[in-house]
Amino acid sequence: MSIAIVWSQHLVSWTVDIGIVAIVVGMLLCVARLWRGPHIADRAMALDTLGIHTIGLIILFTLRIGSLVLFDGILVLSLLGFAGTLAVAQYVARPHIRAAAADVQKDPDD
Amino acid sequence: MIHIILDILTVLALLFGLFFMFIGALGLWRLPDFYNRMHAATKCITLGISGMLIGTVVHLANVRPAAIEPHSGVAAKTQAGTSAVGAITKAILVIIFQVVAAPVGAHMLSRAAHLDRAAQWEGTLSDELAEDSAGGGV
Repeated sequence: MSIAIVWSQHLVSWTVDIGIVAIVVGMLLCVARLWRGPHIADRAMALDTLGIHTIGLIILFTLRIGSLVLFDGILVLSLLGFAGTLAVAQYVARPHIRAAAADVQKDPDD
Repeated sequence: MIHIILDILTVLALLFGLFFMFIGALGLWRLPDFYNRMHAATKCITLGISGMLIGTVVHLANVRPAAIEPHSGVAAKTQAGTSAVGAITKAILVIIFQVVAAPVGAHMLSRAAHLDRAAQWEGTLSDELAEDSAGGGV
């Protein structure tokens, strides 16, 4: 019985070890897209995905080191990633929306 | 016995989440244009973070008899004064927030990219938003 419990605990720790490798490879792919992305929206999306992968890394470290000190970071990271995405989207879209609004205002006069 | 079942559930949820997070990052690198990459990243990342947090919640709820005394396990009270109940609450909050926020952010970002005329894949079949707004509307 106790041997089986130890075996399943080892299963969890092996999964955490494999998962750290997978998350780090995913973070490298995100950084590559952040480097190359042809449009600014590509870079914003890569940064958001990088933040999500950091949340995953914090989760795996929490399971690995057995301490909850890092766990508050997941709330902060998810909120900041969403705020950054919205800020970049507004930065990209606002000149076009202003130009369209100016056209609509100008059209009746012409 | 219950500990073994909860451990196996933890492993399954973690593997589910890790699979989707890795697929999301791979699609972010491999797919041809911005809209395809947005599709891969958003859906997969939402499922991935939900799966990993569910695995963490199951692991934190898996209190072992040896973990009752302090400083000996995740499920016991830790040095920083945070408890497993608080961590489970935060995990559920993050799951709800991601499920609400990821589609909103993806919609706003793809709308901004479409307004800015981001390059489209040459195999794109139709762009109905451009056809609808050809009269000058946004």
